[in-house]
Amino acid sequence: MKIRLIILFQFLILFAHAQVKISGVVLSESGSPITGVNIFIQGTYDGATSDSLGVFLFKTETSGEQTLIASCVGFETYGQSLNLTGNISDLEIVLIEEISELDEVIINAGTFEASDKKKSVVLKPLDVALTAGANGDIFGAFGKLPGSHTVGEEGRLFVRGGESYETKTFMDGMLVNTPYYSKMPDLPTRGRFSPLLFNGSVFSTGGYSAEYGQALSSIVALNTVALEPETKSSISVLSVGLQGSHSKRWENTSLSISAEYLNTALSNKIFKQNIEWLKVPVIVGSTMLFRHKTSETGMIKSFASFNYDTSSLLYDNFEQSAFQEVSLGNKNLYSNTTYNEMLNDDWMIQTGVAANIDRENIDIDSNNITTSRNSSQLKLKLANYSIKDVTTSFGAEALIYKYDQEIDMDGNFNLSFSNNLFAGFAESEWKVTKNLAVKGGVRTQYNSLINELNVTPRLSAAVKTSKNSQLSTAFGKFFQNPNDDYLKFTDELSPETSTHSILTWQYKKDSRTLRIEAYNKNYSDLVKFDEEFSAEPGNYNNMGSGYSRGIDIFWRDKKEFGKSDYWVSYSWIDSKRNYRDFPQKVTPHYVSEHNLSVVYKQFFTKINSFISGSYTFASGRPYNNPNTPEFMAGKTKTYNDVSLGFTHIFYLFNTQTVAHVIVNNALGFNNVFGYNYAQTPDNNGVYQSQPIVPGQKRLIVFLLSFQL
Amino acid sequence: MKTLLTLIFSLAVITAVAQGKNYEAAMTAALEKMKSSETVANFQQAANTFERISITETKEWLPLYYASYSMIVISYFDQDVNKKDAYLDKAQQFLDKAFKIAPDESELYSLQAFLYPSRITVDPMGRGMEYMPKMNAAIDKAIALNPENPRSYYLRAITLFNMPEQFGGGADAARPHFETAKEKFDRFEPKSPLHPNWGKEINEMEMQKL
Repeated sequence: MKIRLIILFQFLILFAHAQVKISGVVLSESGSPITGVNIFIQGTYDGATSDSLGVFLFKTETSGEQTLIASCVGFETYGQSLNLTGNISDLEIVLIEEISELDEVIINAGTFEASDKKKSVVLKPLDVALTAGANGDIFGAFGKLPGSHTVGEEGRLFVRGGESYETKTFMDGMLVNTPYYSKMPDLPTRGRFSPLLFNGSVFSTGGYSAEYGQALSSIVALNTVALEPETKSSISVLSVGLQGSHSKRWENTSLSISAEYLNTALSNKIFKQNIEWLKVPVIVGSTMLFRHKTSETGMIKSFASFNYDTSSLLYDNFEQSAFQEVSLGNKNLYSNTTYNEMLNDDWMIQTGVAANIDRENIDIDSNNITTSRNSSQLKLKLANYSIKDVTTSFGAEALIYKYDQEIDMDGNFNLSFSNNLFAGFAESEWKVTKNLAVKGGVRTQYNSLINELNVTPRLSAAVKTSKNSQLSTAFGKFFQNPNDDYLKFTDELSPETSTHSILTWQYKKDSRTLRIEAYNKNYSDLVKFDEEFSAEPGNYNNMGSGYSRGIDIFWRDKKEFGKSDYWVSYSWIDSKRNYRDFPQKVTPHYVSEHNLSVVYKQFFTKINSFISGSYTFASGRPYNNPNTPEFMAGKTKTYNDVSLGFTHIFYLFNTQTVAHVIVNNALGFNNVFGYNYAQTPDNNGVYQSQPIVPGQKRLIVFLLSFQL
Repeated sequence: MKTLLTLIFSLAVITAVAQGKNYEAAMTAALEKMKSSETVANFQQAANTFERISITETKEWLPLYYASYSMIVISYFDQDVNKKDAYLDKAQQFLDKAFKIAPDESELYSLQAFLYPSRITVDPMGRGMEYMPKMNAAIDKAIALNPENPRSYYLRAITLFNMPEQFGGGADAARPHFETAKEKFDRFEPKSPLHPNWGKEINEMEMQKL
């Protein structure tokens, strides 16, 4: 017994010392050698690294059935069982390339994404904040992308022949009903939110996901920053006011608050205004961002902002040949709270609640109009990843909306309505292969006011046409409720409809991106009326229709740090519609056939300065000249703008300081946005006109920001 | 029966000792290799060796530490920004595993602070604002966990040294940190020959440039 055991024992030791040699080569699918691959026997230290010819050789003391593993960055890990009874040579291991984000096919027809999470995006969040001519406004920056029109007297986004109300803004998936400050006649407005609040955003010019509805043309989806990286404070002094912020960071929680006071009195004195201000614009605002990390993958985000703005001017109402005192006051409160978490490996939950209270007061020669818009929203979305290469999401939302308008003008009128909207959506994306992805979705919505249920499909797909290029397409049908200005008079209207078909080709290699997109958009059920502002419900119908088609081109060459970075975007559009009180199908006043933007940026590391310049061109826009028999036959001259931005970073009193200067319309082009015509002809039978021009020719804003 | 048990027992002990020795021997050999590495291929070999050891030794953080360290070094070598990120993703994976084994290890936080600057070099404008605070937080945590870890001070010094004065960097800002690092390096005794013990020479070399 004893002897047998000792023999066995010795045999074991002997056996343990028996070595086999394993050698071979590692190749890629295309047959080229892969260097640096880690090849080893699972559960042992025995292994080797492939050399520059993909060749490897190692010895192992294990025997019998074993698993050989080959792993390398950029390739899928490979496993093979081997029976180790003797030396193994001439093994040939073929590794399959891992689909990296850069090589992966991405469905992106109609979509521009700015993000710092994904490497494949063409825009970074800083691009939004630092684009000359955008004035630090998100919508201003997106206005320099193809698909948007330059409409200088509005300041809002107009996308592919769509009016500004056809573009909806979402923050962390929740609707922002009033994303812009209120607006004086013929003067532009801007977005309420600082671009620095967001670390990712999507500007979709069409064909967007079933998750979003009630937007005929386009959506802007903004994603707020996660936990603040550190505790810090900053104070900014601007030529138009003051801003301050403080952020506090705990382990899994952060809170930041900011406040601003803007007043253009000083600036208006320096830069001559075409406007006679009775009370210069003043904006008071504050924001609060609370974040709490509930787990590795879970986050609660809470956002609140309050803005108050007021101004008053003497408006030259040329139509009525009268000067009017127009005062504007707006109070806006927006808040949302969202919660996202991976429930397990397969399920993700995204849920949120939002509330928006907006109260606007307009005073025209002491006649008062008070409009309040209150909305609240509840949304739940679930995403499932249990099937390999398939992501399915579905959800539901409820939107409660109350509109209330008091008009004190030759009597008292009250116009109000409530509309509750319930919507459900489901969407599934399938990465069929490394080179093909398809996505299908459906959205259904019910409106309590107009008592209609709609179901709309969304389809998109993308296929790689070469290593660096891909073709994407999107199709979708979209519904949007008629504007409040019509719904307040009648509930007999149906939602307006549009269908989008988009085809995109994108080439992306190293620092260069080229995108060419063609689209066709058909409108139907647009609201028509005989007379504007008529309280007669029978005045309104859904007989309007229209179309937009065009080509958008985007080119960006982004060299490494310190070198040049520029983008060029060009859009050609053919758009006509018969809606509102138009007698026939014509190109609306906000559409310019050709739009071009060139944005250039460069960082000068030696002098710690950053410059940015932009040139914007838009061909003439149509306007209606009552002196000619043809409707909308006039055309303004072309629009040109050169804007510059300069940022310098230095130390002032031991404090890191950023000095920032922006100059709009540096070359002083005399731009004309359109013409206002008198309602009645003069003695010679001619309708006199007055051009609509910017509030000031040039605008310069200084900013000094101290990091405390 | 007793003999059988004794035999089995001794066999188990022998195997365990052999395995233990094997770990130390393998780590020592791999460390020697890594220290003499000068090319991407050398460091890749070292990283692969440490990775192999880490797969078997699931309770040891050191193999993961060195696997991650080698990948970070490779990332500094490679000028291709896409590859750089892939190496750093791998380095971060090793580091994350190591944190699971030794969540309060100062050296791991130091290594994390060594990884972030490489991320920044991919896109300084876009990433600086995100990773600088993360790097500082990692150094702070490394110092809090072990004030005697000289690598934390060295990393703070070298980062400040390479940062423009306008951002609060420069030689003057870096000098006191280099000096603290030197002090700590002079006193530093690694827990074992396998524990991290790098940085002394490079710290002194950089100090010459001040």
